[in-house]
Amino acid sequence: MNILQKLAVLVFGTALGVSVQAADWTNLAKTGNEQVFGEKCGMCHRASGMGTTLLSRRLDPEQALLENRRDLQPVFIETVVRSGFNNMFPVSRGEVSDEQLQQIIAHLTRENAK
Amino acid sequence: MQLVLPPGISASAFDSALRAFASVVGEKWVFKTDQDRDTYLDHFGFDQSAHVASAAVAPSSAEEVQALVRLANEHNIPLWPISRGKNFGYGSAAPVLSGSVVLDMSRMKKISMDVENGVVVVEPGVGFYDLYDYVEENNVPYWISPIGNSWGSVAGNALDRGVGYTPYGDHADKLCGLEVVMPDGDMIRTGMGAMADSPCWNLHPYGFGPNWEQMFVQSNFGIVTKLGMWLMPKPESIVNIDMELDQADDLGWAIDTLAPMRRSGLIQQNPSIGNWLRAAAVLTSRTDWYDGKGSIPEEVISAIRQRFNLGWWSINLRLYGPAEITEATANVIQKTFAARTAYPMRRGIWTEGMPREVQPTSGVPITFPLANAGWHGGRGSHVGFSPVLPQSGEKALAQFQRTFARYNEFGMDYHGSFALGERHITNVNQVLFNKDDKDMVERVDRFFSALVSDATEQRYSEYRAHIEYMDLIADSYDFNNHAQLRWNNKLKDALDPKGIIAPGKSGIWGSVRGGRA
Repeated sequence: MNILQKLAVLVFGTALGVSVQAADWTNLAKTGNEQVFGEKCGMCHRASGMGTTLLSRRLDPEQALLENRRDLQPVFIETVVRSGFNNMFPVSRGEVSDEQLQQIIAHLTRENAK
Repeated sequence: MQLVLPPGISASAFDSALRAFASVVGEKWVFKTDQDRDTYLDHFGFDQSAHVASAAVAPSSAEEVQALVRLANEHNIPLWPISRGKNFGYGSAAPVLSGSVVLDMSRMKKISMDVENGVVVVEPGVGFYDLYDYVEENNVPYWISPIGNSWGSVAGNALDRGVGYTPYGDHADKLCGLEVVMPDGDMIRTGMGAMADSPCWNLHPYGFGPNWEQMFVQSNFGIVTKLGMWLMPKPESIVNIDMELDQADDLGWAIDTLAPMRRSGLIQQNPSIGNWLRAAAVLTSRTDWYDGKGSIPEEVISAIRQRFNLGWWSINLRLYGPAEITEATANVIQKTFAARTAYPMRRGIWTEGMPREVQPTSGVPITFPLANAGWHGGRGSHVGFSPVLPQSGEKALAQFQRTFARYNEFGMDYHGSFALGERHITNVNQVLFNKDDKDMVERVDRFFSALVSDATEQRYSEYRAHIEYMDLIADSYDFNNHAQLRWNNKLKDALDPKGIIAPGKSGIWGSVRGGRA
């Protein structure tokens, strides 16, 4: 069962007992750049988030999770965060400071080919 | 976005105000580039250029808020306070009055929890996810009451009368004790908090003398810097009862069946009855179903329902408490429904140790429902129209029929729900649209006005409004020649004579900015 099917089950209660585990997306016990990503982006871009749900419609669901990606470029991330993209709203410097944005970029590009 | 100055303020006076703000918070926390301004637009609104911030300033403490308010008075700069600015569908972070400086309190994220009493005090920047993490990390035996799209601020949501889905879902009712920076920069604490160091600030809601707490809800009479909120003790079990209603007309009897049970307290949370598009728009796009113009036709509705096994309406009830009680209550509810219908009901139980549903009904925050913004493709948007109705099946059905006809008339896809309080119904109509489709955007505006006008004719109005429609909705509250609005403006004049705090919020402008006298 993929994420979307699970969500369908969850949202509309067609069969309880199948569940996305909270551990898949909460920020508990995370530190450093990963913690910042979780605090600022995880609500949409970890399992079951709005961003993941929308990206799953046009990408392989595994690639819909940004933390699995290896092709995201720093300038792309920065542009999307500050300017918004499709249904993603732009994020202010009040909410994510420039330093925090750099940490988020470092986290999302940590496994990119050097 | 190009700079729009505050009304009547020259560019040099504006610069000098921003320099003064920077002396309080530091240069780094004054945002004034074109890109900064864009980040405070209403991303989900349809006319972003109508509500443009001139700059933003981000304090880190209540003391800084006080200093900024004093300076704003001195420099005559209107402030638009936001907690996290995630009031999507109601204006996001954008001000009613263009040129306002956004007072962005996202950085104020202190949480303090009184575990013994199950009370939390939060600053405006604390989001539902932050509080969820805090509660889980500290193994607190209480659950939060998240909202349907949980990016937002716990305090900001309560102060806009947002609702959750647990028995603690009426957030404006569960707040207890505010700390407020007044328009002159003074600071008050409400209720028992008026006594310094009172241990009862967040326990007893009233204190002595008049209680001002609700005066700061949906208003612009002060800036709330701390908010006490009661949390729900973790339940021993949750029984779910889910049901699909086959016909649109089933809405009437379903409401009349649920209402007495909600009123008696048998059902403790506000049950919501929602239509088939709630599921379809989260999981699919419109083009997956239909390419034509106008509202999606009956046969497509049938196909959607069939694919997701949905009724015309779905009801999802949740019962909280010891299993002996929730199971017994569920029996009574099922028996009551059985007297009205043969529709099957699904039932299950959650108990401690089982994985929780990723749902606000289980105290878990979510954001995926707003994936419905992608329904039309393009840059998706939504605006909500949410009139309050009496708790009558007949009246609710009539309201639905009027609204559904309007959706069809304007070629929009119906997305509605009816949530039952103890004595009222909140009828949430989501209008999903594509803001890159000019024709649709233009239709949405006329459609919205038609909905307001239909509701007003029935003497119904909204419990909450988008920044674009605050004046329109305030105007519908018209008893005795808009006596309440005139009173609000009188109060605004007394407290905030220069109209510094959130001009235009809930239709309150004060006479200095042309408010109804």
